[in-house]
Amino acid sequence: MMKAAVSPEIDVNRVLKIAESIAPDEVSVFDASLGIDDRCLSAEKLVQVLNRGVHGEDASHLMGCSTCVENVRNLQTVPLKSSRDFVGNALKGTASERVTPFKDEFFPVILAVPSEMITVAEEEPGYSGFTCGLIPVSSYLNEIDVSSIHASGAIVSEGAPTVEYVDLNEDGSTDFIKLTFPKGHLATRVREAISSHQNVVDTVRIDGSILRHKAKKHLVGQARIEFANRADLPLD
Amino acid sequence: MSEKSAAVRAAIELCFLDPENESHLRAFDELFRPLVMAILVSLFRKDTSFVEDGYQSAFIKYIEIFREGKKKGVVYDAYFVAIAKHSVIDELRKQSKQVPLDEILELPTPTRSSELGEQEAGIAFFQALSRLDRRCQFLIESFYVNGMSQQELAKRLKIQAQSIPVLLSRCRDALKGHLEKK
Repeated sequence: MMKAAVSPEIDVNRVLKIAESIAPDEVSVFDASLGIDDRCLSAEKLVQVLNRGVHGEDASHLMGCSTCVENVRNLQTVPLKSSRDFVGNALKGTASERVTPFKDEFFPVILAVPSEMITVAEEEPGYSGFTCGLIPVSSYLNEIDVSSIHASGAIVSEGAPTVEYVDLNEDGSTDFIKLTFPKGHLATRVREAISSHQNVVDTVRIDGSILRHKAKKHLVGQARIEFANRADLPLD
Repeated sequence: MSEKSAAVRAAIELCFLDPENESHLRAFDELFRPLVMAILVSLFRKDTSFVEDGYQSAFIKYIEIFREGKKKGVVYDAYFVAIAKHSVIDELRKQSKQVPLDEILELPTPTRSSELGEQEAGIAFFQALSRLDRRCQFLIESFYVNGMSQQELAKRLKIQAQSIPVLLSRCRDALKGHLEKK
């Protein structure tokens, strides 16, 4: 969509005088909360969530805050990268074509892992189940084929997960899906690191299918998680 | 301040040094866009398609500002965010969407006086809003921009619905106070 150049009537000097007089404190606007209170995720954290998934304290907060979940879901619907000609067009005073945030056949989802660290017993089986939150773009929640969801990477699931649809603000619509993989195993590289008493940070990937208008599309999300040998941790 | 925020400020400095340099502008866009998008989708939750258009209009204004040169004392990242927020509101108005925010912009404050144009007052409004505590920002943006009901606000804040009008009134007063400081 081509749009007209910006209207010329803005008096930049006057606005700058105002900006100077009411300039905010040194804390950057990108580090400030964007939710209902100061515990909610900032712009920088929301972008990190999209790029890397989320774990620990932020994941626990996200799985209990409908406003932050809404922010994450909305952020997935806008493009985070400009089109190639965006800056060139802006220099000429014109806007560019809208870009789509992701390809039609591919739906990224956010993976929220509440634990900061997964502790593993050295002896077999080590794996004692894996729970995470899955936050897809809102309109696709009911189209996810939950039986197709599986984990790979650092954790390899066996069989379908148990699924809980979570409605945080009790408005009748699901905010995110809580998945538990009761059966599975750790990747060999993770087990080896644990046996050598080394903490290891590795990626867990979730894949699945979305059934949309009879066409099958792919859902994918990942998060970086730290694994540690339970024997190496101090007793509480 | 986080590393990303510091990087945005550094990119802004470079753009002021050479406002016609496309690679500096690209670097600024690459760093700034995701962060400002996160802020804009939290401002207007109903339909994110306006957010892209708002950012595009705002970016054209940023280039004008870079060309004007840097002014002392201005925190440009916050100022650019206020411009982007105002641009989203402009986009909503262009599409004849109802923006309940107009009601609060009518507050009789010095920044709303006749010496200021509509755009300047709108940008000043968002800058002043960013000085309020997070709960007030959320209340004003949700009620006046998104048109969220008092019941929904109460549910989100986990408080009684009858407390909402009192809180809104306090937040409006605080906002007016910040605008008057000007």
